[in-house]
Amino acid sequence: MRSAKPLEMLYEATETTLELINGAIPKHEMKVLRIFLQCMEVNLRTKLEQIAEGKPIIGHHFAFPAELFSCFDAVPVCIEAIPYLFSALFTLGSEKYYDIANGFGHPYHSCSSQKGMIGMALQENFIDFDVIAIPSAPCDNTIAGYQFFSEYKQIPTIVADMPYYHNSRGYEYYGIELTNMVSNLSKYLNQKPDYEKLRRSIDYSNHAIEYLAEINNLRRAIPCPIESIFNPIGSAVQNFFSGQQEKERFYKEVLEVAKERVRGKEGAAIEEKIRSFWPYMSLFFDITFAEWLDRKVGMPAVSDIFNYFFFDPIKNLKTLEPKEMINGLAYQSMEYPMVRQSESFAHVFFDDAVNLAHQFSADCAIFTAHIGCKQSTSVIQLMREVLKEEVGIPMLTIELDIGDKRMTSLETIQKKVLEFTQTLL
Amino acid sequence: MIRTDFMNFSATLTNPHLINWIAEKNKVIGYYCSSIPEEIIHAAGILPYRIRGTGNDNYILADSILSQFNCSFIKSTLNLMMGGKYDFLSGLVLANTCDHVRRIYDIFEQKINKNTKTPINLFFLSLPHVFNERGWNWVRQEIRAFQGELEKKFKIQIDEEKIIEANEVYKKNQKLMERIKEFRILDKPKLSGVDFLKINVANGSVRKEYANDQLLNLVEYYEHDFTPSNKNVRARLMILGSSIDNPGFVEIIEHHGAIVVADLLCTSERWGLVEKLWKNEKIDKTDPYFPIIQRIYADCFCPRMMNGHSLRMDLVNQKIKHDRIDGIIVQRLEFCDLHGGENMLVQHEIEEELNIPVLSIDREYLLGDTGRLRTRVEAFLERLERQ
Repeated sequence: MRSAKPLEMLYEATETTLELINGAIPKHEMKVLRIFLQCMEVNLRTKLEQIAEGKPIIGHHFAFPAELFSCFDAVPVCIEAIPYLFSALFTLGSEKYYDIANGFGHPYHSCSSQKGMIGMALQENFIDFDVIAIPSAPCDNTIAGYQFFSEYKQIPTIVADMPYYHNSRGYEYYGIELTNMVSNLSKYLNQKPDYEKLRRSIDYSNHAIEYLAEINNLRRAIPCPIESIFNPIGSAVQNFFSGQQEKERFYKEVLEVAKERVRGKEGAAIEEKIRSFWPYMSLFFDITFAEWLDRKVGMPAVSDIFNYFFFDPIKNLKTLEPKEMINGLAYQSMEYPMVRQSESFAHVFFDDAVNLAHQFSADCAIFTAHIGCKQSTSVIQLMREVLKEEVGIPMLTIELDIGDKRMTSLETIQKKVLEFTQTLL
Repeated sequence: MIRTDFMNFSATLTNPHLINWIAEKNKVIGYYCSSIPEEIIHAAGILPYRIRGTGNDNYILADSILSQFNCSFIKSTLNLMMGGKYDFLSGLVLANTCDHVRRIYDIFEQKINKNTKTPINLFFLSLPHVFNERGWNWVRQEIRAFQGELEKKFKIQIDEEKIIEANEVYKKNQKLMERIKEFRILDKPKLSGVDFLKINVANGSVRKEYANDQLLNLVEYYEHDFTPSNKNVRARLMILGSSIDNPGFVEIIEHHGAIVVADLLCTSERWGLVEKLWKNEKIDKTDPYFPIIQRIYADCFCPRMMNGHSLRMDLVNQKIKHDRIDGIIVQRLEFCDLHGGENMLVQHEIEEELNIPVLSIDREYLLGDTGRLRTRVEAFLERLERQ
């Protein structure tokens, strides 16, 4: 029997959390979290059943278009999502695995998303990946971290090399890389790609893109109708459900919640005092933080770069040739949240932040300087200046590890946020 | 000039050759990594200068932009640039070689150039992270585009002949460095690790024709005039990891009687002295860009090449045997994720599979913790002697 222990643990945690929320919290509250956990339960159950049936497991990077895996009868698992889901759903988080990785020589300052998986892989009962598929982007941690899996764990790893230029030359190059990836996967899995299944998967994603665009339109309302927890959860949805039906379902159901709340002029925060824009990541190690922002501070996180698609659905899907579908995914995945801002020139990052801060009527920005992301921490000061000059809003920077509560504790983060609010109100 | 004076060019950012070069109204272009096509800059009649942090002693200016999680080497270089110490540059070439380096381009484009009357010419190359034929062709296009940008910005013409000439100069330089390296691995080495690094650093700060004359002098000096000391060498060491341009770090390692006889660093022996890492027989070897792509891409020892780890380990293994290595120092600059991941693997593979002792060091670019470092090296040497 092949191991998928971390997925089993997540499934149990999802069930328990959902049970707890359903039993203890009124039905009209924490709707986004509830929808997520319901989707997660289905998604994990399906994955575990498929693994038990003997289907191959494809490990993939969050910045990879997982729609491609639907060409095969296989189970996709987003590697980066697992440690952060552990962080969010388990009291003890992923810290144990970070320590194991550190003990093996993995640097403390490298990204906890890969570090957590390295720690898990050094233990028994890891996930028995048949193959790993990744891009060469968007950061050094991706490049260095995955060499552990390919070299030390000897898991066949296929890399699609993503160019730094996000232009027609770059998109074309990456499209060919993804086409080669499909043929390589086909060899590893000994399966012929089924492009009709790919079409269906892109269709789910297309709907998800449309729903998220609608959700974001509604999030512009004052008060913001969607709770702040949508940001960390949305990141998990995009990565863990990528290319799967649950992604479409999640956004569809959240959209209904948003519509209903806008109709009732109901906000996520008890009293919306400050609209905060998060130019970078959310906090994963404690999901109560988002609730604290809404309920205690009155400062909903109205937008972040992870929950905004900077591209349109793939058009004319029904008539597209496989190559055209793959090229469409190549373009989209080079414009994925974080990839677009991290794996290219910084002006894209600044322009997106300015655009979103304007669109969502932000009063301030909060930048999570995640210790793993050197490419973004290099330009924090420039971001601060750009937001001040072009939007006229101040920016708070919090140095932390988004998946490890020991670097900067929840209490310290809350204190910083409260001090910042004093300067705003 | 005394023959060994060339080494002292490593002690300061400028040197007599560079000063004369600029005085004669010639241009200098700075570059960060060994993956930059220096030969094209050379062919343009410009001096390619490898950026370093020499002489920096604080991060006050750089800290106004970069964060506490950034590499101290990059901070040092930015600090020097913001303090005007690199004002002799007419251009700066960067690539996506690591997350810290590539953001220097953005910092100049978005901030420094906007706030100065004399903005620096910026150039950028997108380099692949995988060895394959498509990557080779992409690099060729990038070099051609870079050449075009140079021609446009400096209103010059770089014809094929000049590139072939530059390749010849660089080939000669490589041969001379290989010859000098031989003095390092003798039973009684004539060249310390410190001096070898100094030569490499100096070599990156002058025009290569000038460097070749100096290297030839050094070859003659070590061949005929230099007598090595009779002192016993406690251990023959190899250094791996992040780039080093500060001989002071190697001095600490050699302080207790060990000698660094080999390294695989992008600022030192990696430069053209290794067997080619990635080979592809289909590539057109008559192309004038062939040797350049070979050097900056196929011969890239940096862990940013995602499918290159086993090739890199083969090379390490080969050098351990060839240079008769007793122990290895695997070091990296704090916050370097690329070498962080690589060093973790290398340490396990060397110790567990090759049974060679390894000392792993994390360091800051500014050498502030030398006492602790000396103690660790001394303990490592004692460990080697007990074996």
